[in-house]
Amino acid sequence: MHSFTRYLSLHSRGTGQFVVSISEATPFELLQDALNGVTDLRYSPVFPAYLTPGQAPPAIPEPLKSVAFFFARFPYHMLGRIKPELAPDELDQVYFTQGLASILCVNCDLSRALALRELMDHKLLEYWPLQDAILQSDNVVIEHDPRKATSTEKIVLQPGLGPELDVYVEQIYASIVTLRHSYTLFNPEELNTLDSIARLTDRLITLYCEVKQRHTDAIEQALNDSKRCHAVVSALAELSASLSYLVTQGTSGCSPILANPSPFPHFSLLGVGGALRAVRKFTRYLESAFSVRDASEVIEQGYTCRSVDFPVRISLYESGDAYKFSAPDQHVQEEFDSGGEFPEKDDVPLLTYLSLRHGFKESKFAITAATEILTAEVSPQWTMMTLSHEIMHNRVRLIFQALFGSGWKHDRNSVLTAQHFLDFKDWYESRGAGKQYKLDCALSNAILNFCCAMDRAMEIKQIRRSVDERKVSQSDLEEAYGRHKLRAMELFVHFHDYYFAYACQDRLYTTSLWASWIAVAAPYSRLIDYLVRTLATVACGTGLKCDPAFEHASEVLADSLLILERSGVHSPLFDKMRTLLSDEKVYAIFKPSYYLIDQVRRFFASRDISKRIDGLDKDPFAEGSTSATTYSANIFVYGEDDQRTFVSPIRFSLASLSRSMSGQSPIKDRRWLTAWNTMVISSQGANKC
Amino acid sequence: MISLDKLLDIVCTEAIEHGGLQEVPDRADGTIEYYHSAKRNARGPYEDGGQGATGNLEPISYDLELIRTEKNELKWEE
Repeated sequence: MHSFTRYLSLHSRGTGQFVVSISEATPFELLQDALNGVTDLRYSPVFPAYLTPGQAPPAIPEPLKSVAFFFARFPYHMLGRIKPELAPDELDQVYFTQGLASILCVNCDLSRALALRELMDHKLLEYWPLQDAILQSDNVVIEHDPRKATSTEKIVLQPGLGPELDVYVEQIYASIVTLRHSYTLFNPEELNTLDSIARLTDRLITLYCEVKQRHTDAIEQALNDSKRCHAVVSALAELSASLSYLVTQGTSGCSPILANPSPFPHFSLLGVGGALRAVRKFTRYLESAFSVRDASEVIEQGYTCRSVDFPVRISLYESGDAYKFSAPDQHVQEEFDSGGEFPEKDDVPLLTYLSLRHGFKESKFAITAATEILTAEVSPQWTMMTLSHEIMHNRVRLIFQALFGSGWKHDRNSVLTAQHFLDFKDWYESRGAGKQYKLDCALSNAILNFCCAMDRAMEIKQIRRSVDERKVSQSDLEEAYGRHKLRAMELFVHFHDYYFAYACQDRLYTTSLWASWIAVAAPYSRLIDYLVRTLATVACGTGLKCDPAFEHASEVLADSLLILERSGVHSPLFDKMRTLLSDEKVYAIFKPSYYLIDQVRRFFASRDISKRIDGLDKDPFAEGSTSATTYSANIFVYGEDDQRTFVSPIRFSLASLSRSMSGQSPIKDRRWLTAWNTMVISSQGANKC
Repeated sequence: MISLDKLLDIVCTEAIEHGGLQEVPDRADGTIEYYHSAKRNARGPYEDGGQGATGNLEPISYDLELIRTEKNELKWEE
């Protein structure tokens, strides 16, 4: 079996001299040699760009006479653009990378490198002439791109805020300065993100100062104001930390390469700027699709004006036709899409970076991708599709804010308002009774109903509680909401991910979920939670009553576990889950979960958004279908530059995942395939959908 | 995805729900052990969520219960 991955490495010989080599040795061999020889080592993986089906990778050019680094921002398209211009022997000398220097051409002379540079979307070129594989640092040639993007927004700093804030604010602005400079060259479309972050920082500081200056003798009020100050400081700390990650990960590996080593030791030569760009493009793509309808505006402006008869009794819940997914060719207007235009305004893009510690995670300002995507994205456990789940968390965060949140202009000291409580009481005690409720209120009630049900499921009785014991006070309701809010949110997130990202492909969704979950600790400690939310998700949209819906979902899950095992993914969790499918506690908890996710399906499905995510009319590889198995992009085809071939990152990633699980990957080198995936996604235009 | 104003309001909501604890644990005093098992959220569920609800409103007659019946079956009753 051939390895397609190569490693470009550099050893210092002192006095500005470096030994440069390209090797097919594994990184462990390179590291062992460096340890044995007690030498320094900087290296990065590089990948032969032009493969031929069924053939071994091109041989490494020897001797190595030069390396030309091109900093193309759209390497997938640029490789397509230069391919017809290259002589047959040159095709074997071109590599792509996961760094900002996204394309390499070895053993071309400077004039040829300059000619190729003219074809690139970004003209920055760094050229290393080598003598007997030795680079003399003085001989490095750097040709800059004369064009430079600029930001027009003026940022006015607020200095002298005191030690509590200054420590973060200084770091935030210092990061913005560094990133602004880097982005003008490498990521100009991201300059507006930095402007948004600067505005956000400014507003946080203002809020902090306003609250700090408030004087009150009331102890409770003073305590709550202190909490608000802490919340603002925490927000600034989170922003500061995220920006620091962006600086260290996103700006290293730029030219001059010798002076800008990456903090990732296994990408120390060229960095991970390209892979980071892929994570960001993936995120921006989904953000852009959702921007057509602001969920909070739909709730606050649209749903407050519409009434609906909403199921109250979870014990009698039966779903039905109103919850069924309709066929794609059937003209149906979903509730979420009706009631007028609600585009997002002034949204703050998520910061995106890699984290080994946090893995895939969302916070209100940032999305992190597991660092494993650098080397194993093509494995089901570390697929970039897991990012979609995290991005949906951000959407759901906004939905919960609209339904339950407080705000600086309508501040309060309790998690739920008295109105939340009274609305829920009126609704629940009426038992529906044909009464119509405003949609926003009905949705809040359904969530609180789920939380109360989950609370009751935590303490199973053999005889019914007395009428008094069953009563739920205002503080009881808040506590139940506090305990189960995250569970409710997860159901919202799962629906969004399943419906929007996976286009309701049930087996693909469950295999992807469980492939990634077995790689983290949480599902091992709370298996029933994870199992039930999987079952509820694939049951939603069937319109089936609870029993057959549970059976259907169990069947889908059982099939998916088999698919995983056949593709070599194993875990003791799988057998445990099979046992749990006949555990009555699982079915019992499934019922309130199915009830809630069905309401999410009915009121948050959106054809307007899903159409934008699918991009079927623009993505030539999709050929009009959302099916992952028929997606036709492959590693031997490059983007046709004139059209700037559009590739939906979602459909592309799903197809890759599907191939990987069915063992149909065209080559067996996971690192090459991983780098290919990130390179293609990194080349998509921002806000393309 | 989230507007600037809404993002600031979310910070305000978090002050009430979590007392200003950081969401992403970068400082020792913003971290709790639960994070390592839950992963989703550094703060975990807030058990004392009722701290602000001190009203004297009439409680809800919430009848839903999960009961283990005499036949040893789990059943939702309402």
